[in-house]
Amino acid sequence: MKIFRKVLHYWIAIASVLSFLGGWVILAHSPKPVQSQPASVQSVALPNLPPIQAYGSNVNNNGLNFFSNNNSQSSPQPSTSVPMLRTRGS
Amino acid sequence: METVQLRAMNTDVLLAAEGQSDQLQPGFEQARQFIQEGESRFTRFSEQSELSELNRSAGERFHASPDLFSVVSLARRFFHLTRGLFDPSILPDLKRVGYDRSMDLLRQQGPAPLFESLLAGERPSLSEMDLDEADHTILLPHGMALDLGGIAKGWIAEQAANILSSVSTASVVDAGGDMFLVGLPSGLEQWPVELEDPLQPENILISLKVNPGAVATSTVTKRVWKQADKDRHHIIDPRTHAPAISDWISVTVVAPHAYEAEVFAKALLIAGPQEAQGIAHNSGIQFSYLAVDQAKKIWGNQESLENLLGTSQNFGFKPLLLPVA
Repeated sequence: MKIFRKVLHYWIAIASVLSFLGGWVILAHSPKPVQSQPASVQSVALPNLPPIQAYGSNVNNNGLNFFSNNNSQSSPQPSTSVPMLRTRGS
Repeated sequence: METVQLRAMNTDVLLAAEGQSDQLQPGFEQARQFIQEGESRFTRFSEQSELSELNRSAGERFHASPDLFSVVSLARRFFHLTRGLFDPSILPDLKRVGYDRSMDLLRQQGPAPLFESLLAGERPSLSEMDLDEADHTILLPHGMALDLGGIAKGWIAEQAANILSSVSTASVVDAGGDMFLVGLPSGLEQWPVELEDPLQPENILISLKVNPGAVATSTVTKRVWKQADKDRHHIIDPRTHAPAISDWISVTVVAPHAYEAEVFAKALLIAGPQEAQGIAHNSGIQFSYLAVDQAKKIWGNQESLENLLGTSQNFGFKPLLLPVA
């Protein structure tokens, strides 16, 4: 009986270690999750927007104002003489 | 308007001026030459530039040209005005995260290696830099190196636009979307400037109406690269020595001077909505700004809406905190 208990203890210990290592190996070799873009980024070309006055507006706790503009609009044609100026960061 | 396009400062540059072509050509040529000389003086990507010479001289007094001394003086001034959020001495951090060569080269040559061993360490503060107005000398403390990228680009664009103004009543120098506007084109009361969608560059978010002066945008979506498996961008937060993590993805500033617009676009982008109003208010500089967040909400104050969007409709906003020109 004593031998049986000792064998059982060793068996549980070895099985636990092997299970842990097996799980580690599986996780290490599993594919990494693909980072998806937020839903708002996936907007497609939409019709021209109404004038800006039509947007809803809001104020946050910091006293900053914001208004939603989830729909991008297509670039208008350039003016006849003034070059199209676009600020975009670099 | 007559236009000239060139490639300088690692970006596309547009010169435009109103007037007769033959009268404008000398102005275009002079402005083009000024831009190219400015680039060769201020670039950190050439060992022969005056800026690289200054960086190599850290620990010793360096006799600077009037142009370099002017821009370094401006940089120090705005370091204090932005409470250190604009800091040109983050060059070691930029290199550590992989931006150790021009963006053109970085894109050509692929991902930069990840130097895990080069952890951000203590480096001297810009306030330790000593400038001597009398003999135009600069003393960088040991271990300091400057990157004057944005502020120098704005300064060059403004100087070049002023050169064009000697031959034209309305001119603009647009350096990769950061621009300085002089006068007004015939028949227009303001300059039309489009704000590009930072997440979908083929689209515009909104059209702005801008008075003569400067427009600059900083964004974390343009100069991006991979370092090993890490996503990197070029806006370094001086407090963390790492690419900034902000609720905003781009900030556009309209200001009287191009270097002001460049500096505050970057500082407010790093600051984010929690600190931006305080930075803007305490700077004492008059400017308007619009910020875009991940959801494409556009943030700003009422003056920004009125001055830049051409509307004076009462949205019911709170009292204003930001002084606007």
